[in-house]
Amino acid sequence: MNPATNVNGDVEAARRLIGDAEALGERGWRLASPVWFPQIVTALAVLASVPVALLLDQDNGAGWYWTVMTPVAAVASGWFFASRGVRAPDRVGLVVLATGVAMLIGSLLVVRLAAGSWDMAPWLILGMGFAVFAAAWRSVSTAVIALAVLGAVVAVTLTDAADSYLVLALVVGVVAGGAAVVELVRADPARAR
Amino acid sequence: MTDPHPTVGLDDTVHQRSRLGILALLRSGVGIEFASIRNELHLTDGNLNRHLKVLEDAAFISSRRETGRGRPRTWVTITAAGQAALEQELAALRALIAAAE
Repeated sequence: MNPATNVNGDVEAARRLIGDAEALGERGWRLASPVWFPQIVTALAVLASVPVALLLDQDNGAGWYWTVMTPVAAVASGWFFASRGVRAPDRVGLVVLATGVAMLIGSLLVVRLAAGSWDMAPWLILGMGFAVFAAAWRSVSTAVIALAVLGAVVAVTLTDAADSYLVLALVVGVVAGGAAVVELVRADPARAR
Repeated sequence: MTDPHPTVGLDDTVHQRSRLGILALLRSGVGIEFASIRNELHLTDGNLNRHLKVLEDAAFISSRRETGRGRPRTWVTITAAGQAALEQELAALRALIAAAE
């Protein structure tokens, strides 16, 4: 074989190995941080709360809904992460677990004990929780959800919107659903075809 | 004195394609179960076992078997030595490309 051909072959092989290694490194991290699942759970739970809040407005329907739905969402997400064959590094896992528990306890306390005192508090807990998730998982789509929640809280508070709950729920639900779709497509580009 | 050829920096333990893939998959510090690595890299059980043994003997990975409810699961993580070996391998490959250009 011509030595020049040999060198070119080595360089091509080296390029391929580097490309494969970088893609696999990214893949490993992505497998360990399947953010699409909590995003879907959030989108479904938040959007499903809209008819509940509309139909049971007089009886604090949203309050009761979230008292049941928050633990269900937390358990579903916990089960999903525990059942997978890939785990985030210990430090990241601890941050995510502690944040999830804090969000669960904080939301339940606010919904049951401080109901009506400041309606934005559960949304702030959700937004801050997603901000921590975004940093821990290095997830842009999760950061977008956090910004959407916190931005919507600020906008609703400043404008003193009449149907603040519905506005927040629709904004957060749609953004979380869109983020989940983006994550799913990125996790496996074949799904987009 | 001339610089050593970039291929000198290549480590046979890491340079093998499947073993490089295993280390790359674990690069970010994640823990991955045996079956997930096998599926991601399209290896057979026996093949993956052999590569994991080579990497474990070189102290580049550590594995932990978990038993409990359901089937036992073997979790694999990269060690600091494995991280260093992977980075050195990638640096050697980049040097090889740079030397040829």
